[in-house]
Amino acid sequence: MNIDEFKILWQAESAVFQRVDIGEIRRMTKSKATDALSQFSRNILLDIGFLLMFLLVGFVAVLFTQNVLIDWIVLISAIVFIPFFYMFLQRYFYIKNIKLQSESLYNVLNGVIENLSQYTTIYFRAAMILTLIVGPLGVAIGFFNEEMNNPFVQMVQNYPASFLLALSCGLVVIIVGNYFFTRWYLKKLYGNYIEELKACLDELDDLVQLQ
Amino acid sequence: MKEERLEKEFLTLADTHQGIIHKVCRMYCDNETDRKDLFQDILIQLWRAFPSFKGQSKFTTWAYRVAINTAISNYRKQKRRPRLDGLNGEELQIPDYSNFSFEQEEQTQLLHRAINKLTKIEKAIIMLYLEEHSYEEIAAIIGITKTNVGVKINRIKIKLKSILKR
Repeated sequence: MNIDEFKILWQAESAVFQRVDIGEIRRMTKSKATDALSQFSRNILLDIGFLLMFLLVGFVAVLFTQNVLIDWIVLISAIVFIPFFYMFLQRYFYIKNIKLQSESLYNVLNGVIENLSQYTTIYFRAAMILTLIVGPLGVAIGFFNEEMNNPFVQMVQNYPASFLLALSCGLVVIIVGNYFFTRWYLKKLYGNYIEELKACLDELDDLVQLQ
Repeated sequence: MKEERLEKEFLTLADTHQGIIHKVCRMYCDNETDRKDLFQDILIQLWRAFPSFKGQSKFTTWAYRVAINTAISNYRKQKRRPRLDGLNGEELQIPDYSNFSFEQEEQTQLLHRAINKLTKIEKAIIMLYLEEHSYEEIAAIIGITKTNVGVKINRIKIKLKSILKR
């Protein structure tokens, strides 16, 4: 059977779908988009919001406490997060500027894959740095803060070697755990999607290589 | 005022050519909920992009480009909750073939079953081919050369033939 024989039937099929009325079309155009690119840009905005909130809470803590360690944590976090903030913003605007109406499918796939891969790398690095900085510094605040005269701190002061060992083990577990958790999370969130898009792009690339 | 005129123009075009969106949704979605979501997402993308549509190409070609780009770059998780703000369930059902003869309906279903076995890219190309878009238009939408379109269409035809034979 030749596929061309189906052409007339295929074209006639446009008329057999139950039509959506204009009022419904109008309502749908005003709704929130749920497509992958819109969700992706919303996720980046959430990340940017999280970074800003983290810094805001930090600055409030600096203003209302007189702890030098907190000042250092906020300062270091701010220095570390500024490049990430810039990179997230860059990804956001790049995704926003992917033009589904004028770009070819090949360019759209290329753009989305490239951005998504870069975004996951940036996200992973930001998550790891956050753990590496905030974890140890948070413990240091508790340890060196003389005002925190609670039984736990006293126990730590009585057995410093055991505490250091437990602390080191705890930090290693947190850092390694966070490493695997972030990898798993990113793979779950975007891994299959990137793989699916890559398969489409590979199919087009195979054709291009024929020439 | 200008916005209203633009909206009216868009709604008329979208209403006239909604068959394109239905076909793309049917091609890329297995279930009703996903079809509804994709229908809405394509409409939103078309509406957002409409101010930049300057009539340099046919509306149908432009709409196919947006619809295919949206459908292929989209990703749906397998398990998802039904959306509450979608259509009310009466619309966007499987086509009503009452105007088709039994044989025509059977052939169409056969074609869809065969097309379902193709990859996403193959589906896009064969859909544009069946809609009688020129190789040049298909090449521009997909982003490959005219020669590659020809090669790919021949391969898809062979693949479909073997699927239909089974």
